[in-house]
Amino acid sequence: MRACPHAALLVLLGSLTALLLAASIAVGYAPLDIAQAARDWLHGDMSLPALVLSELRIPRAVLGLTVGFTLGLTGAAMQGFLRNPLADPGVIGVSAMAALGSVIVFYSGLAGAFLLALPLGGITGAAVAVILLYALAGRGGSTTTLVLAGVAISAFAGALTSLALNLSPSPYAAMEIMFWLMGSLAERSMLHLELAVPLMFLGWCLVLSTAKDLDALVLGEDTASSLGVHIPGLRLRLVAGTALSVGSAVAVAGAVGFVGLIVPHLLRPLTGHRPGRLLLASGLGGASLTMAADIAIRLLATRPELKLGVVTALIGAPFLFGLIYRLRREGP
Amino acid sequence: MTIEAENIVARLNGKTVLDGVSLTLSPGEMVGLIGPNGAGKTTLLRLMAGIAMPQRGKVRYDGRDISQLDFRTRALARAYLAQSDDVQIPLKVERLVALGRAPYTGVFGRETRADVRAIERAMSEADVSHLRSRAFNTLSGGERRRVLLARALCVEAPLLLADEPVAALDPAHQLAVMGLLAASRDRGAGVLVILHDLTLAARFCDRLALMDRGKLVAVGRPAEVLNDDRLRATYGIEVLHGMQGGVPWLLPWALANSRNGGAENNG
Repeated sequence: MRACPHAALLVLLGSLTALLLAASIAVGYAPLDIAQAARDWLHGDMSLPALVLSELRIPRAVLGLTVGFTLGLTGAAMQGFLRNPLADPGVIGVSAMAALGSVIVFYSGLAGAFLLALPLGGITGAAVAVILLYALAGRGGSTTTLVLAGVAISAFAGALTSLALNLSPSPYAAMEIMFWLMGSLAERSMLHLELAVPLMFLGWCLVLSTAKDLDALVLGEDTASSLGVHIPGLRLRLVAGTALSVGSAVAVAGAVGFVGLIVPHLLRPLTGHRPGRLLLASGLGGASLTMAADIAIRLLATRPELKLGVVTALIGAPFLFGLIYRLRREGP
Repeated sequence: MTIEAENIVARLNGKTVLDGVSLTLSPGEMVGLIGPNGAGKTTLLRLMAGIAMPQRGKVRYDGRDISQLDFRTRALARAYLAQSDDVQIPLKVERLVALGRAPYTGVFGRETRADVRAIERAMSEADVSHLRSRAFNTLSGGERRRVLLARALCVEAPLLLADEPVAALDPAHQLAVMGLLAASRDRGAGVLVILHDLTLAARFCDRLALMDRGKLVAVGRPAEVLNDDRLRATYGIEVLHGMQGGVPWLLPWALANSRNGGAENNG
């Protein structure tokens, strides 16, 4: 495939994202007259359709958009930064720690005490992951050290999450944790959005600001540094941006895997293999894939509802097998 | 622009890799950095490029301490050509060379006409224009080296620091690349280049700096630096040599017994 004009690609992906956002709002379990609901909502008339629109449909669709954008964007950024095609937010341990933070909130019963405890737990977990990363691999540490630190943090978070499940006082609490870990966009409120989206946005800005530096990094850290890239600063922006956006995304939507792996791979040939150009494209692609998967879940309407993380894993795992197989064949 | 390295001490994992090294590179001169593997050549080159900082000593660009210069000023002052070429992705050659313009382009990396001209010129000089649409990772070792050289030339910096630019090149391309570096020098650039081929070093460099075990053993004109005793003491080799048009040539011929404990000698 050859690189198509970049602006055209972005317009195409932007349109697809907008279309899927509209479709995601339109699709639901109960029939809804969207026009009527919107009119009521805008006039401040909290009728049942207006409530369904503002409290169910819009939060779910916007969350699909923002969580997907986060996963696609950070996946592309991590793959560019670590120069490893298998990297994704999970690699640096942020997803796992965010999940652990949320699980601790579940486990301690804080989740029932106040609504915002869960998102706050996820963000705290992500922040701890970043601090640990910096203690282990920050300030002059090599990229390999960063990856190893990420693997260690993921293992640690995984072990503590299992411990929480193991010691769970009631089977119901364990089940609640299990379901949440599977990742879903169902039954999230405007409040979830208000807490998570500004932090995700801040993270996006940090990550997007690294585009030009990621291009230069193709040549290796020494040469990029000789071209004016401040490597420790680049690392800080990427890790902080990823922690903020992925931490808040995991906190509200649970662990939705593979989006950050699949999307950058599909779009890379269309951006001429330039890591900087891949960022925004991959964010839009991630938003589209996540919303499409969430629409499919609602159209299938199984009972109980399929979890988003399960669907993305079912698509993503075979993709990962294929990818490793291809890398093995291309390798030495 | 002049680079001065003054009394540099560098340690790596507790081992002293540079011990009190001082070297100056002036505009319009090509200095060859030679010495056996592990002598500290790459470390010195990286420190003089400002990519790493020494534990002791100073590196100055036109009299200003390099740690006082911001990253963009450093990037515009010198081009650096690394030894390794571990670019794994199928980036197009033209786009890879264009990365050399990074210090000039803004946040969004938009290229001006001057950038495009510099990219074309660098590709043509390094004889890679015909490869422009090829993916970098499909090129041969020699082609890769030339593309990376084009990337460094494209910076159009007054200083060029190159780590083994002719390794993996066939003899014709070795001569061509050395000719390119010499042409940069003739245009007024200061060129510091790590070389293992002593004849190329003698033939093209104005001065040679011979390093061994973290120290600078000798600095001077090639004919002064490359004498038999020094080559035996540093590289542990015996060489055949002669003169061609006033330029010395050397051919490593046998291992010197004194350093290598009676290695074979068919000289």
